[in-house]
Parts: sequence; structure tokens; C-alpha cells
Amino acid sequence: MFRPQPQGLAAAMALAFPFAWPAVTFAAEPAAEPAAAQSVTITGRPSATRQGALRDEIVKTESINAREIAKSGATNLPELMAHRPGIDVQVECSVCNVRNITLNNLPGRFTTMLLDGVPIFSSVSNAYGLDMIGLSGLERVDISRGAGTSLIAPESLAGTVNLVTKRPSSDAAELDLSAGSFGQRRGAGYAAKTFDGGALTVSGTQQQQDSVDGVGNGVSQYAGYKRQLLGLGLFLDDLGGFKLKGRFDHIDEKRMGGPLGSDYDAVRASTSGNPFDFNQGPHASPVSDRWVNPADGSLSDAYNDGRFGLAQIIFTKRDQFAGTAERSFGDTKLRLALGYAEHRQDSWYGGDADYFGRQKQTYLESSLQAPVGAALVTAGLSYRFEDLHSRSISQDPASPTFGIERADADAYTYRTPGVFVQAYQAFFGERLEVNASLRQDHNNVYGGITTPRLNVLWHHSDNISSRLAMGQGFRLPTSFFELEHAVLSAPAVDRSQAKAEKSDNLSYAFNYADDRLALTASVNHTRIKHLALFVDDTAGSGNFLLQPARSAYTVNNVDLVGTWQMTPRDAFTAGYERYQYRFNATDFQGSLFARPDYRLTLALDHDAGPWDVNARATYTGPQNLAKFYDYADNPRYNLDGTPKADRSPAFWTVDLRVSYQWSKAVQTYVAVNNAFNYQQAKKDSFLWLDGSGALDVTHIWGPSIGRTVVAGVKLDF
Amino acid sequence: MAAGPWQAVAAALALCAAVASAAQGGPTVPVVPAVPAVPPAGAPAAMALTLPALDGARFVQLADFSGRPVLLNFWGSECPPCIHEMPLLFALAPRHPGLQFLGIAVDQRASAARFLARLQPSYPQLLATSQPEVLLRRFGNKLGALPYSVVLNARHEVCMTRLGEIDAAWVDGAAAACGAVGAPQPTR
Repeated sequence: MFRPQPQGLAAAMALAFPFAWPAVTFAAEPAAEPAAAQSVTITGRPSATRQGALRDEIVKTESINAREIAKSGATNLPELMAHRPGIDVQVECSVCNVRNITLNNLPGRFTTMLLDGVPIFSSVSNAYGLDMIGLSGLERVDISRGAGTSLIAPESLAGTVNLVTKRPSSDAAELDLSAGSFGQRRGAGYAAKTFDGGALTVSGTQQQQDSVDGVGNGVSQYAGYKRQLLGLGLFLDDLGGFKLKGRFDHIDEKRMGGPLGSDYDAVRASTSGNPFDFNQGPHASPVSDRWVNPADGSLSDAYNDGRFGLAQIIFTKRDQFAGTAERSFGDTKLRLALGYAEHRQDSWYGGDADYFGRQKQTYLESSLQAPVGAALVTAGLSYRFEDLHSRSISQDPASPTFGIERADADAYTYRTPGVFVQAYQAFFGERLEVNASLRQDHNNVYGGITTPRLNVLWHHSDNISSRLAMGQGFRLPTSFFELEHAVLSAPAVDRSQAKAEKSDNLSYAFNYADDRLALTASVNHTRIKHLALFVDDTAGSGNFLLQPARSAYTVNNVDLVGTWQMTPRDAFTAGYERYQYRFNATDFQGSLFARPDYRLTLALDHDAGPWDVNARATYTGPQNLAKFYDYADNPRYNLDGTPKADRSPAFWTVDLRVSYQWSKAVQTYVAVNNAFNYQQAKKDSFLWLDGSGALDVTHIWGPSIGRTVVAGVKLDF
Repeated sequence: MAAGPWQAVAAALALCAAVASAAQGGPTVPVVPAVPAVPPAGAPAAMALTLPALDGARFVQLADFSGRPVLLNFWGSECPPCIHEMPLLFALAPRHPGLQFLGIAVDQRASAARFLARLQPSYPQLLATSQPEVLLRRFGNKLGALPYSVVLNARHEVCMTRLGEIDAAWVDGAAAACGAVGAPQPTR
């Protein structure tokens, strides 16, 4: 059996640690002749990461580094995540733009967000918080798909997205100012000050955009917003032997969709009449103030709820902190992690409820890592606290609770201490690496949960590697009303029958890389059991029930992505992904959001001196809307009473970005997103009716906003 | 929040701290063992390399330097020891006419170019574009650490490797050991 050499063990410590420091600096004993200790920096980041390249870790990890972030033109995390093989953004509501990040096309709530390896996002923040994750001061974003990708995030049934903050190595100041279509205005600043043994950073963003109506019916397909972000970072290399890294973020956002504009008070005051025009757009109603009732072909009662009737106004304030401390004691490494978040949502959902929610989260972790024989063993303890408290006033005249203020209709409190152990060992001259781990968590509601995982990495050669991963994850079902607005009409959510959502995952990834080509192919299988569903039992027990689905939801997928350095200045990327969704539509009651059967991505990156040109084309395949939305039991109709199509069409979108570096300090850029102006609303309205003629806003399969042009300037001081 | 879990966490933290304290005994900073300036065991035969020049003007191949020993220096603009050793490397290159120096930036093109603009590189600079860790592994650096220097002999076989900052004596010794023709020129 191979016994890791000390140098290999050091590498293993960096690789196998749950989330190691992005750059680890330590002293090297002198070689033959130097008298002084030498400094060796481990490159925790692959600086030229491209699609198709993997980080040199036992868990398959894709990375987007600072340059890729800049070239993408993304202003927040969802924009960065869109249109990458195996990774996408799911918009769940056209008028409020709730959107989350999907991995392997699994529901977004199964993606765990981490800040420097600390999990502090949950049900509420996954609805409206992800748009508010800025990208200033990041070193990279790591994406690991599949359960068991993180020792410390067992709830990541689909995988993890980890934002790694950059530890500045020199003083810096950056300013990015841009403006564009639909009233886009953005100013983002970042400054770093280094000192002996540490650094301080501050970042801020002010951003706004108007709501967008692409078909002229007066109902927005894209919510307008005003957003302010403030971030502070502190890095200390040696405080009592500990290396500290911490960041604090404050977020303040106001958004509104449904009616156009941003006069929130005026919208709230508009509670009668019809300011909309329902006979605009494809399959629109024959009249402007009502629609065809599909049950009998008659016209519905005239819409008379004013601008507020379709409005969703959400004010969000969030404070979060994530920090880690590491210290080595000989070969033993101690890691401490702390996360805290407080999320406040003050919102008005016309026709449903006024809602105020407050969520707190705490994460504590302590772990030790040490060589034990030939293995490297990590053992630790974690504690998670998460609660949600709310008060709401029903705005639905049909609800028995209409006008009544109620507290904690969707509240929950979870306390989950856990213990975990992981062992890593290399064999056959480090050609084979094996990582096995086991977690035992105990939740105050769902009891004990055990989740194992196993990762294997085989280096076929210096250029070729295979990764095999199998594991289980669990997620505690949450009852935040955004999953089902109607829960606010019941006194409480009855979760006595609920079970923890559990997944079985198996994945294999093949990676090839040479000087000019990086290529990765992967096959993934995920089966989710006990997927949580809301069941309306108000007619029976009077409550909404949180229940597990009767059968499993399974997603199998294959994907292939590679980047080829065609010329010294041009790189070409191609990616293809294909999915198989296996589930009993009746068991899921249309609660799953439809995802495409396949997707093709092509990209060209031209990097020549001061010019940087990026073009990306994405072909999204059709979605089986009839199956995902269970048309058999819950048919969907257009406003003219005709049935919605069973499948969505396939479509192309093209994004372009050009930047020019005028000097060391000044860069200008122009970006055109969705260049050919493909909009779902011009093919198929987001609005839909159920069999009784009730209106909803969640029929989404394509782009919610058309062509946007943004121009800006970046200043580096 | 109930006191129970907090007490459990406090106990856990204390336990970890206690175990860590018990394990204490070595230096507080982990030590990387000596990196010998000797040929690595089992090194492959002739190495090949094709990377774009940092300025994007052309591809550079090891074959372009056929029959000449080559020193490859892998560096990054945010790696302090890389930055520290670079002026010395730029000064040493002209002193070793028999040894072709090549810099390989494990970095972003713009960042590397911006950093080098402050210096006067005395040898070609390339960009690691595809999957840098695989490139480093191929040249014997499984740790993926920087700075890293490799000296290839005239047949472009790995002759000497150095993880960490180099010094003039090491380069002089490696040049001699790897068959660089011509004695080092004196420093002016």
C-alpha cells in the first residue's frame, strides 16, 4: 500500500479539506543551500479555468474565476450561472422574478449556496436572495454537482455553489459604471487595503432596472428593482496562530412586478378597476378586461382589482456574516467556521396577502484534520439553526381568513447538530485517491439522519482522469409560503406527515486536458425520495399539509463540455447536455417546474491585446410542459380559453460582449444579451388559467426579457 | 434558542480545541519538506509543450528550442514568492546563454501582462490556458504549488525541479547538471 509522502500529504490536506483556503501559504524547509525558510504558495485557484476544465480535487468541481466573471458581464450570481452545461437559472414567477440556480436541472432548492464554504442561505433567501449576491471581490465561484459534494452541506441534493472571496495581495480600487436598456443603471465599487499580515476590503453596488412588458398588456414579464449592496471583508494571516477570513454583507432591495413602474404606494392604493389589457399578446382574451372561462367558454367576471391585483412588491433587507479560522498544530489542522444571517421580507402580494417574514440562520462548525497512518482523517461537529417567523393578512376575498392578521402560518424552527468524519487516502503512487465520509445529523423535527458518501479519483495519466461519486443527501422541507401562496389561508402548516427529503446520487466524470484542450464528460443519476409537497386540506382538517410525494423524482443526465484553444487568441467552447426525467406526474400535482430535454451551448472567446470579444449561443430544447405541470389532472389554458401547448418550442439565444482596454486603468465595454430578441411572451403568455378560470403567472419556459444593451466603463486605480 | 444545542456546540468546540492543543508540539506553521534539486524519479522522457505567447501573437512549442536545455518557470502575479524571484530570473537569463528560459503564467492574461509591464522580461512569456493543474502535474508538480521551476535537458527530459523560490546558485547548478553549454556569465 502506498504511504503518502509528506509532500503528497500536504497536497491531500489542501484538497481533501471540506473547503480549504483558496490560497495556502506556508514555509518550506530550505533545499540544499538556502539558509532562510522559503515561501511556497499553493495555487488554490486554477487561474485559467475554462468550461471543460476541472479543479484538481477528488470531487468534480468546475470553477469560474475572476476573469470569467468579468467577461460574462454578469452583475449577480444568477446571471453568472445561466447557460452553463449542467447549470442554469430557473425563473419561477414572471411578475416577481423569483429565480434560483439549478444543478443537473434539479429543483433549485436542492442547490446549496456557500459563502467561503459556510452555508447561510435557505428557504427565504433562495427565493429573493440570490439576485442580491454580488460578484465584487470574488476570487472564483466553485460549482460541484451531485449530493455529497460537500462534507458540510448534506442538504445539497443537487450540489453546491461556493463563492470564494479574494484575499487581496495588494492595494486596489475599482469602479464599474454602466447603463443600458430598460432603465438599467449600475455603479459598483471595490477597494482593498493591505497591511502587514492582513487586508481589508469594502465593496458597494447600486443597481436598478425598470419592469418590462414585452407584449403591451400592461403586465410585466420582468420585475423592476432597486438594489443596494454593501460588503466588508477582513483577512488576518496570523492572529494567535489562526488565519482568519470574514465577510459581512448588507443587502437592501425593493422590487415590483405585475403593474409597471416603481411607485409602490400608488400601486398599493390602486385596488379597483382594470388598468391592464388582457387582449394583447399571443392567445390573448378577446376582450381587454376579462378572459374566457375554459369550463364553459363564457367570459369571466370583469377584472376589477386595480394595479394591486396583479402586483408583487417585495422589500428585502438582509445581513449576513461568514467567517472561518484555521490553525495548524504540526500536521493537525483546526478549522472553525461561523455563519449568521438575518433576512427580512416585507411584501405585498396583490390578491393573496400582505406578508412580513423574518428568518434567522446560524451555522457553527469545528473540525480537525490530521494524518492517521496512511490516511488523512477529518472529523468535526456542526450546528445549524434556522427559523422563520411571519405575520400575514390575507387579501383573498375567497379565503375564510380574508382580512385577518395571522402569525406564523408558515413558520418553522430547525435545530440540527451534526457530527461528521471523513477519511482520505491515496494509493498506487497517488494515481488512485479515495475519499469516504459519513454524517450523522439530528434534527429537532425530523430526528436522526445518516448520510454517507464515497468519492474516487483515478489518474489514468497526467492528462486523463476519472471521478466516481456516490452518496446520499438530505434536506429538511421548509414551509416558506413562496412555495405555495395559499398556505397563508390556513391557520398553520401541518407537517406531522412530512419526512426529510433524501437523495441517492451516482455520478461519473471523465476529464481530459492538454495544453490546448480541456474536456469533461459526465453521467449523473439523482433520485429524490420524499420530495415535499403542499396539500390543501383546508376543507378537511382546515390546514395545509406538508407531505412527502408518494413516489420518487429521478433525473438522469449526460453532459459533455470542452474548450479548445484554436489560435493563440481564440478559444472555442462547446457543451451539450441531455436529460431524462422520471416521475409520476399525478404524484407531484404539477409542483415541479418544467426543465428542457437538452441544451447546446457554443461560445467563442477572442482575447487580443486590448480587445476582448465574447460570443455565446445557447440552443434550449423543448420542455414537456404537459407532464411537469400534470395537464391530465390540472389542465392549463390561455386567456382565450384554448389549451396551453403540451411542449414548449426549442429556441436560440445569443449574447455578445466586447471590451477594450484603453490604458492600464480604463476599460470600456458593450454587451448585448439576447441579441435576437427572443421572448417567450411573444410566443406564449406567462399568464394561464386553470379549469375554473383562475389566473396565474407561472407558465414559464423561455426568456422573460428581450434584447438588452448595456455599456459601461471600468476604472482600476 | 434553547440552551441545549449551544451547550453541545460549546462542548464540541472545547473538545476540538483540547484535541488540537494535545496535538500541538510541532511548529505552528506547517513545514513542507525539502525539495531536492535533483531529477525526479520516474520522470518521463521527452516533454512536449504548446502554449500561446502571453501577448497572443503565436503558439510557442518546446520543439522550437530543439537541442537546447530549457528552464520553465511557472508563476502567478498574485504569488508573492513568484514576484520576488522574477527580477533574479530576468537577470540570470542573459548569464546563461546555453539555457533557454521560458516563463509560464498560471494566471489571467490581463493580470499577467499588467504585472509584467512593470518589468523588463528577458525571455519569452507564455500563458497556461487550458487546465493549469494538469500542466503542473505533467511537469512533476502534483502539489499544484507556485513558484515552480523545471529544467529540461537538451532532449527535453525533466532534469531538475524546484518547488519554491529559486536562487542563483540553484540555477547555476541546474544549468551545469542539465548540460547547458557555456559557463554562466558573471553578474555585472
